[in-house]
Amino acid sequence: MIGSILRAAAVILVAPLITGMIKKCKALLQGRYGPPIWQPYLDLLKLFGKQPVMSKHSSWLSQAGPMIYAGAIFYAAALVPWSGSGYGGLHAGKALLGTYSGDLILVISLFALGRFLIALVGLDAASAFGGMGSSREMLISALAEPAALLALFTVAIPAGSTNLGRVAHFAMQEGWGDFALPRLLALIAFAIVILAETGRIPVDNPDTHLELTMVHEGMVLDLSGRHLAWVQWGTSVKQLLLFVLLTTAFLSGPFEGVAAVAFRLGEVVLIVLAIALIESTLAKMRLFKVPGLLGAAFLLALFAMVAQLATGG
Amino acid sequence: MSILGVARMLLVSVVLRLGMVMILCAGIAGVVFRSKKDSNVAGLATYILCALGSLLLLVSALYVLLTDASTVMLEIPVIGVLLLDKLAAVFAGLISLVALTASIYAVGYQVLEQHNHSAACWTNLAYAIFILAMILVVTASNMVGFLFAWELMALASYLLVVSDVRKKESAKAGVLYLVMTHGAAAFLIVAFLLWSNWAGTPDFSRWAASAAQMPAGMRSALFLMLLVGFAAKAGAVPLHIWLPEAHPAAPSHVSALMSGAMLKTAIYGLLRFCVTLLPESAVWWGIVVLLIGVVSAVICVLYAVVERDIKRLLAYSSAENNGIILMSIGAGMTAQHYGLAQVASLAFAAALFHALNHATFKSLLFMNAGAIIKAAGSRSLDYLGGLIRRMPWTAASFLVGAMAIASLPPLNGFASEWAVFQSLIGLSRQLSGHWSGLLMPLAASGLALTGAMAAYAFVKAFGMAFLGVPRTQAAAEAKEVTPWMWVPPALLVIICIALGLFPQGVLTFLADAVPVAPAAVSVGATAAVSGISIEPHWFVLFGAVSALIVWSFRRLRRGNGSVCGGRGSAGNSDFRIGETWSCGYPVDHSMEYTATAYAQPVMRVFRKLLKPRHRVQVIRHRQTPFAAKVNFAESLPPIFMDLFYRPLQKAALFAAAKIRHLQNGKLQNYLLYILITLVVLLIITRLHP
Repeated sequence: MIGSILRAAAVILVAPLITGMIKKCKALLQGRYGPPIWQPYLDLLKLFGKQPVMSKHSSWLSQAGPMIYAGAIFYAAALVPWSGSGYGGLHAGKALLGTYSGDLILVISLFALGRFLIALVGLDAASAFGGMGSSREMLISALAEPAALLALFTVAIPAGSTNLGRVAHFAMQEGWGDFALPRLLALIAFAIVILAETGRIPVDNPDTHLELTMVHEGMVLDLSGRHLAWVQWGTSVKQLLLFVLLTTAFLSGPFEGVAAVAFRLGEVVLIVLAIALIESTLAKMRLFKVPGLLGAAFLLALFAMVAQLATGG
Repeated sequence: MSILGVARMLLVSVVLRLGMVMILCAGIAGVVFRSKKDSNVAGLATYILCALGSLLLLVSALYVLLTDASTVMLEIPVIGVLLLDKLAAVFAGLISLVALTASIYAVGYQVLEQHNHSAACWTNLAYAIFILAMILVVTASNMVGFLFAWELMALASYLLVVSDVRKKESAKAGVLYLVMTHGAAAFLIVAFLLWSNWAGTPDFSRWAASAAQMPAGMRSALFLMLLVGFAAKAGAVPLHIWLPEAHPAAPSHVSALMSGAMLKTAIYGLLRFCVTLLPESAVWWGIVVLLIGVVSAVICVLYAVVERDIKRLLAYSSAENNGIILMSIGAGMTAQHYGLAQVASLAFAAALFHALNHATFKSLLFMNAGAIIKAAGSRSLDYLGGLIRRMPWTAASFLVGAMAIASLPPLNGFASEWAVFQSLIGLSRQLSGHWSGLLMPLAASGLALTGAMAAYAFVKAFGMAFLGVPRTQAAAEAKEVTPWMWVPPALLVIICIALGLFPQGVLTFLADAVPVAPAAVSVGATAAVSGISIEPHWFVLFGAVSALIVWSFRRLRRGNGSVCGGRGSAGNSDFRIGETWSCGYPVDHSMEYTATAYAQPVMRVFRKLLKPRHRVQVIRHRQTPFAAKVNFAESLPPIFMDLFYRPLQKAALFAAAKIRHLQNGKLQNYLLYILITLVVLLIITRLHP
């Protein structure tokens, strides 16, 4: 239990750094200097110190919602394992930075809980931008969730459980082995879902506050001060957790303990570079083309599942 | 059995009998006392007695569930023996829970109304008979009793659906409902007659043994007829068209009862007859139920997302949740066929758990919808708004209900959907390499889509009704309803949270209810084997969440009934009040999103499936090409009307038109028909003496 809390604290503290790294890489690719890597920390500190301004039409949801959003995601941070060994006391291995792992459906549902409340916060201030962002976000997440779960099930079903510790252990031991094709397809499907869930190009533009690109930014437009700080922090933690989930489930190397954590960090850095590259080279898609993209992700996950079952996995 | 055991059994059967008698008396009392000037007394007596009777029934159902291997039997004059075993106790428990809360709610909703006229006593009698009939359905142990109670349930609910004579649509909804339910009952009657003829007795306890000796074709035919009959009552696609008409037309406490309790009697019928009494003979049985469940869930949730009327949205959502229950039952039947007892037991337990959870949160939502309609005067989400400040208790319980139905942790909706996921995944793990193993992950992704779309629908429902700025004057003047109307939903909220916090305990109890051959394994063992253990987390999560909520409320200031405090100098108060940013324009209700707009992305993405019809009418200035006014109308005819019912209707009318030629009014033709019939009969009796 203590290990999980420590792991969660580490993830929560490191997450804004990852956001800063993505911004820095994007800037360098686009020929600018960009903000320093630790700028998100400074932003958070500034926001926590500022007095929030609330709309006179909003209700207690605008105060409670961001905190519950952050709370749910921070709780999920305690549930996602970084290495495939030493989970839950069910396996006697080296327990490093994690003694308890949660259920993958629970993690996805915690993200859904946060999203539900932030979508309501978007409607709370009676603004058109909030409604727009809210409805678009619910659509995108509704179409992304089947693809995400199906991709994760391609690993969970042969692992015999949806417990993330068991999934990580299975991925570590089996590697890709005979199942290179299903794992690759599921990896691509889950990567597309990550782009949708973290609000990156080509699904949404995290850098602007224009109506055309407003999905996530639209919902939090009327938040300020510490409420906005909670939402920003929660979003960056969710992003890091999704990266870790991707690497633990699909790209887990045969390492244990400290080596696994280091490997994981290296993979996260590679994902940061990949996302910076994608954001700098692709253009944002029209909103009603996004279901096509997510449908493609679902089909990839479906093919992965078929390939998995056909090879008797 | 020991003396104490016998005494306890006797006590429980007395309690059960007392409960049912009380409900019956409730209805009769309402009619008997109607001549009194103050007709509130009659209504009050009816509903209070109904509530007390339901409480007694709940107690006896809980007793049967929580103690081991106890079955309560009662003898009733017309119906025969009533049997309360574990499966019946689950459903009797949830029916009586919903009836208890709905009866208390009805006191505020209907009785304390000013215009409660004396004819309403007949509606109250129908209400009491409705509850009684549902209890009789789940406890009946022979064919006559079951069918009698089934028809009584249908007729009583029909009377309740058409009870609001001020609305035109009630009559139409009632007729549609009656036709569908009787059509379904026809299938049930035929199936039961065939089965009892084969078994030689109308008593259900002998039917299992006789079904094992039936030819496979007859068993499949029986299964199909029973499936059609029960699926129509449960609201499975394509037999669901009565649901979105009948549930909104009824008064809110009746809608709660219909959605929460009556749909579950169909699930009870499926579980009792298709699973327990009919031994598996083909793999396609389970697959068919699974597919019907998936299709129902996905289609009905899409209609729920685009629906503007709050009660129709809730009705479609009921059909969607029943689809999920059918999915779980289908998975269980498939697992049973392949001999996977653990997975089957988990799947059936998940189905029962979801049925129980749906009963709690759906009745909670319907009761709150009734409160909204009473307070703000409209059923359409486009005419509500801003009610969270004016009706805080209703808003809070609606929020919990919406979160539960969107299957968000730590509530009970999440726990039962998680259990359904586990059974589907466990089944696909055991079946990998087999063709049917692909269906389970597909069903699981359908379930994920359903859950996410349900979240969409309920963000829309809660957000449009309660948040933002009021869209009409009536919504701006809404007042919180009487405690009679918000306390029962609050009770259900507590039950939702409690069920969400202890899912594994509940699942273990429910797993005993459906006997799975070979002997069932407890769910706890199942869960431990597959390495799932979610219970300790809930306390941490719940504690953290409540701490956050408490902390956030600590910083709220109340004034004038609104939760936003006044202006304060920077650094002195917790926050400042400002105006919502809308590019500098003043904010009024026309700025914010409407329910139609909120659902528009789904309408566009799924337009090939939903087929909305648009009608654009341009009215021009006289003699000029310039438009003075443009009218736009969007309508959404349910696709199954065109896909399924219109062709059926056309075929029936076509056949009837052809047959009509026989009736041409000429006496000579009729005499000829008689002659032909006579000759044919003579030939038949000659050939088969």
